[in-house]
Amino acid sequence: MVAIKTYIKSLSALVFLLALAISASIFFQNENYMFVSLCAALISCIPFFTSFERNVNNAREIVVIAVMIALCVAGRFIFMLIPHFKPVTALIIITGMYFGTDAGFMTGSLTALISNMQYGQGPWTVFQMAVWGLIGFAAGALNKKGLLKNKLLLILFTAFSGVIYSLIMDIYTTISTENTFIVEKYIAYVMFSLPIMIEYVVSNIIFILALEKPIGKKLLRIKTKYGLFQ
Amino acid sequence: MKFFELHPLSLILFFVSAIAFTMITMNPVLLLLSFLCGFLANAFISKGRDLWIYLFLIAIIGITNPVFSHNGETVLFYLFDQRFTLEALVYGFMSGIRIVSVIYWFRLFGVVFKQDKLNWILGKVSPKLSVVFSMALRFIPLVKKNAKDIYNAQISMCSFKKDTLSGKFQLVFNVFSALVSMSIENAIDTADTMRSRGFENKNRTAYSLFSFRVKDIIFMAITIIDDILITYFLFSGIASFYYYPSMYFSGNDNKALVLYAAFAMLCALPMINDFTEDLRWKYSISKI
Amino acid sequence: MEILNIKNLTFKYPSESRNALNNVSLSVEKGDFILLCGASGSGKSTLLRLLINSLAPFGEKTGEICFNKSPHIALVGQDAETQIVSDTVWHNLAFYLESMGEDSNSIRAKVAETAEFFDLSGIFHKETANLSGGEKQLLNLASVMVADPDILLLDEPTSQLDPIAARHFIEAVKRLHTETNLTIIISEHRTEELWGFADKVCLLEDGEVVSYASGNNTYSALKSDCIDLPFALKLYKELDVKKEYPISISGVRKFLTENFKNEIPELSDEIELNNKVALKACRIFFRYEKNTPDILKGLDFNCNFGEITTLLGGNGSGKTTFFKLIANLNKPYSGKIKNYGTKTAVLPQNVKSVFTKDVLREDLALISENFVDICKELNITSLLDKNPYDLSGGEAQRAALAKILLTKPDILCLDEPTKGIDSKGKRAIKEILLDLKKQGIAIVIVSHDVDFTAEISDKCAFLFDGQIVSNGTPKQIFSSNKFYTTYASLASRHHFKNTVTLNDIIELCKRNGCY
Repeated sequence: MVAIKTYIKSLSALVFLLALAISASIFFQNENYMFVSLCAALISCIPFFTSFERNVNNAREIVVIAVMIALCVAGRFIFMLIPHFKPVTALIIITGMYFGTDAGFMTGSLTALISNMQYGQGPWTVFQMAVWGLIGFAAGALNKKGLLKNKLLLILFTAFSGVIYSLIMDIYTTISTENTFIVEKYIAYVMFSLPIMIEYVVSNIIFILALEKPIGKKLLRIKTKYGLFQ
Repeated sequence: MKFFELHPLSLILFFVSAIAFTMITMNPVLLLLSFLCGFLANAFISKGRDLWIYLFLIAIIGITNPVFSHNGETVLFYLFDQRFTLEALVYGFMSGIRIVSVIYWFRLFGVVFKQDKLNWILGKVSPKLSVVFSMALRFIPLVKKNAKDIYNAQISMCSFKKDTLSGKFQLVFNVFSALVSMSIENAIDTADTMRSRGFENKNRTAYSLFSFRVKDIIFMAITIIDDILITYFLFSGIASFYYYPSMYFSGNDNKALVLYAAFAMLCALPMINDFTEDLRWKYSISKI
Repeated sequence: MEILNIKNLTFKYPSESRNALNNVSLSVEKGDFILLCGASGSGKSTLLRLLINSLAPFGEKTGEICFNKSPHIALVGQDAETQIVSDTVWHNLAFYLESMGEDSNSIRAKVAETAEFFDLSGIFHKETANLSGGEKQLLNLASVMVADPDILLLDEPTSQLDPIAARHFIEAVKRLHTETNLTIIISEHRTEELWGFADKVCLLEDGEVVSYASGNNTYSALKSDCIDLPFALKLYKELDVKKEYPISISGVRKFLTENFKNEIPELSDEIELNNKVALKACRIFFRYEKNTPDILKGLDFNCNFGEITTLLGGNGSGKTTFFKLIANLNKPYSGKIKNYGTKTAVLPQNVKSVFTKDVLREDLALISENFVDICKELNITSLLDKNPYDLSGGEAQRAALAKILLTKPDILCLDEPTKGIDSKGKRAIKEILLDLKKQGIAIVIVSHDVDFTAEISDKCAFLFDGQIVSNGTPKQIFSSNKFYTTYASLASRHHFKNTVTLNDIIELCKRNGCY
């Protein structure tokens, strides 16, 4: 119930911002897609943060979320042996699946913020925060009824979130260079980044298949042993 | 007090102003001012060396824009039977300059807003968020160290063969899954420590080492006055600039000059701050 | 004034059949310093944790814990690493006060004062990842002391520290007690400096209080030898002394000169020289990165099959680095290590890093299916179906050793095998190692623990600043070292020669006879 409320809140924030964007554009007689989308991404995170502030009060849950973030960020370092393979998205999905929507969103968005502290902050940080956060949230919401226990659905969801991540980051690229949305240009960017997207989706699927079982088991053990995220 | 030593509140106000105004305008004078100040501020304050790379980004965006966008009256030549116009070229370069300016400001933000200041902001949004943030930062080096320990232990036992690809996969996945156990089990102890230090109390406050000083008040006051001026003149339609169908520039009267001066003042604030600080320092030292 | 009174406290964990605490009754006065002694698993931690509501373990509890005016209780546990709650030193210090909802000004003042008292102002702005183990534990102590607790509980606070850091920490605790008259309850294996200092010593054995009296009076109640006693007490106990001597090194000196002849002044120091060389390192130079300083600077080292060789040395002397070279994890940039063995295995300091599976049985099966015999030898058969992370320190160590031994090494390296292990556990490790030695395995140990080293090694090498500065038998090394040596050697060198362990002294005393 709370999750749905949060969704409605964030959707209304988005609608409000889009309205603001359109009115600002009319006023300036100029399209400000970039500015508005940045604000939208930023503000869409806020209802999730407030929901986290309200719902998660257990020290153990908070620390476990911090550990999941640290694992996501350090994941790149650990998987250096196998180039191009970064377990971030898979880990965010697993966190969302086992620890729920709040933990999923928090892990996704803070992972983006913290890993960009090492690789350079930019306007993209905000988009990554929103997108990874929403992937974690969606994984949590879908798995509430155990939907992702089905392997096929899990693979589909992983592939879907990889594609969505890639497409949204391409939207960001288009908007940021143009300040407006030109469909041809967007398609050009998507085509250009297609090989990277495929690699990304494939590695995510491999990761989720390899990690979901062993790590899920461990998270489940922690969950039941210490009574977390009930 | 150098720029990076200012209170996070003054800094965040500055960065939001600089980034927002750069993003919403297409006026070439404002964009060039923002670009120049962003570049210099990065060069002097963060000592960034690879700032030149972004000039290529501007060139790429500038040249590709006319290929997609065929508005504008002044046709330079035809490319694949499509108009390649001067207006689109200028527009492309200007939007390239704008995005690079924004990137420059974000870069400076990343340099100035290290974990302590980011933590302060997050603490204002939600105190628990800032706890998660600083704990995650505390765990990252620990996770890396544990990963190294596990990796070394597994290598020295030769439990997995490192030379084949499948062996490599097995090794890395097993190390990672062991790492998850180790990290989470240790974290539970940390959580108990936090709980015994009253973490779950209702009225938690957030302490920070930052204190708001006179310099911050001056800095903020200048930023706010600039903001008001810039907003007023931008909204009154002075210095609007149209690229299509042909370039039309309205801002060359006195009011526009005030706008440019205010914007230049805003963007140059970090450098002015550090420059006066250096001067004062030299002056104080000469007195010793 | 009584601050805490425990009446007939009995506690049982849900998963266990035996009571963890059995009918414990204690009364603590305000300003008392109480030393809690007992072997691992005797219920020390359980007792301490039951005193704090937020940490109290889950289980069946009967009896009463009464406090006077609900005092504020704080705890420092044994693992320094897991008690760090934030990324910077100052935020760790402020954390407790933040939770209590204090405002910035009062936090600033209290944090500053505490940092000054514990001498942390030099590292105030540092990130916690860059602190040494000793600094971390001192920070943990300071982080609870900012909140001005009425009772301080310390649960084996020095068990993960090296001896110098441990002594430093104990000094800080003692200073805290003498200067502020704080009520302190400490459970500790390092009793040397605390036995005489404590107002009362509480002996726990299998969850029962065996004795609760001052250090001197506890002496008569000692029954088992499982408890880590100060060196002097161990000696008096072994020699069955009736008259009371001070429990200190100087007390032992007086005791020896007054009671024993020294006609036979020394024990023979024989070494068998018929063993085959297992490992030979010649002028090793090593650094981690191109532009970092050398860690090892021309190190020479060798060890033989069927012998136990110990590398001693302080923090940062390069011991652990040298292990990485032996195990072939890194390569020296100059010099050569000749390894005559077929397989080298390392038991790391962080023993849990050996396990990758969720059940110990699966973990062992990863190496070899024939693990039944080794499990019997190391007494871990009953643990096979447990999760490695549910094992206690000693159990985990034996399980890790089993996994490593399955790789059939003939050179075995152990990194700090006695860290956090009580005297009973140490005895178990000693037996295992001596048994392995008999099978002809070359054993190399890196350790801070001089007493353990003196008892077990055939040869010792003293590592300082990347070089071996002295080596020889334990008797040679420890009887010539003036400071870095065993209590036995310090207490008996005026009277005997070459006595570096408790057993050495006892044997010479017995041979010489009393006056």
